[in-house]
Amino acid sequence: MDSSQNHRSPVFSRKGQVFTVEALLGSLLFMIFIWSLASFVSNSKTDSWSIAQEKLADDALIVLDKNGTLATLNSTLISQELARMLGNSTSFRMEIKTSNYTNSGFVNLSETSFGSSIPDEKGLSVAERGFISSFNGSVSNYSIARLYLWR
Amino acid sequence: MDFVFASLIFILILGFTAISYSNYLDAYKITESKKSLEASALSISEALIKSTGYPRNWEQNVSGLSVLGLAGSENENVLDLNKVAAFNTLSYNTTRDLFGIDNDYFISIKSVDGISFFSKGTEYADNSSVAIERLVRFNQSICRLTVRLYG
Repeated sequence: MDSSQNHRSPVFSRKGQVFTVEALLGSLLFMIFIWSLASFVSNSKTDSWSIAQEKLADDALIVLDKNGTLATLNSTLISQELARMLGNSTSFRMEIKTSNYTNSGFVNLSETSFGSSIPDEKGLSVAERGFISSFNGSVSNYSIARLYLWR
Repeated sequence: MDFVFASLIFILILGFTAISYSNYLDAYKITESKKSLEASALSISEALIKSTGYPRNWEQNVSGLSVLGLAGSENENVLDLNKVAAFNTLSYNTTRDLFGIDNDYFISIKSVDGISFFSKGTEYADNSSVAIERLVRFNQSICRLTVRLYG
């Protein structure tokens, strides 16, 4: 009886260690799978939010263009309208590059930017729109507005 | 003794992973459901503000309506008063069919200063609901069109 136990004990003990290592490895793989899934879930949350933010930036530029505010190139007026549209929870920065078309092609007239400083972090939405300004019924300037939004 | 120890570790790890898996699975289901709702709300808002609908003058004969859109002709983000009025005359179930959803919805148009111009559907408290806000021009005002879908 004693000799049988002495004979089986090391084998039994080794099998126990193998089971433990296998169980740990299996569980580790399973945990990696779960963590990957969790990471995917948290990333996919951000995606839909950023699409909605980009749509908001795009909408703001279209509305400013449609009601003629962009064409005024008046930074105070544009800032006031943007603040009304976006509310307190959303910050913005606007950049407007204006050119004139001459015989030698497009000539850069001015570059203005206003609004808050762009933060050095993720979650920034950008929209861009080209528009024209008219004077006495003819096109005087070509401009490109770029709007940055963040919360 | 080794076997009991190994089994204990295995059961503990298995229990922990099972609980983690269950938690993440629940979170994943909720996120996926919200993501799907957000995509539907975004798609509905996009169709309403960018498209005139089909046929283009559907507001003159709502019985022939096959695609719902509220934008004036060639005017993205500028809503047509007559189309919004015609949308209001459609039954709730008809509009759900046109949107291709089974969910309850609430759509409103409010000026950025808070004046309510239009609403359809019933708004109620629900944690599983999602809302998408779009900026539009309506009735000579800058407005927010909100599409809320309930899970």
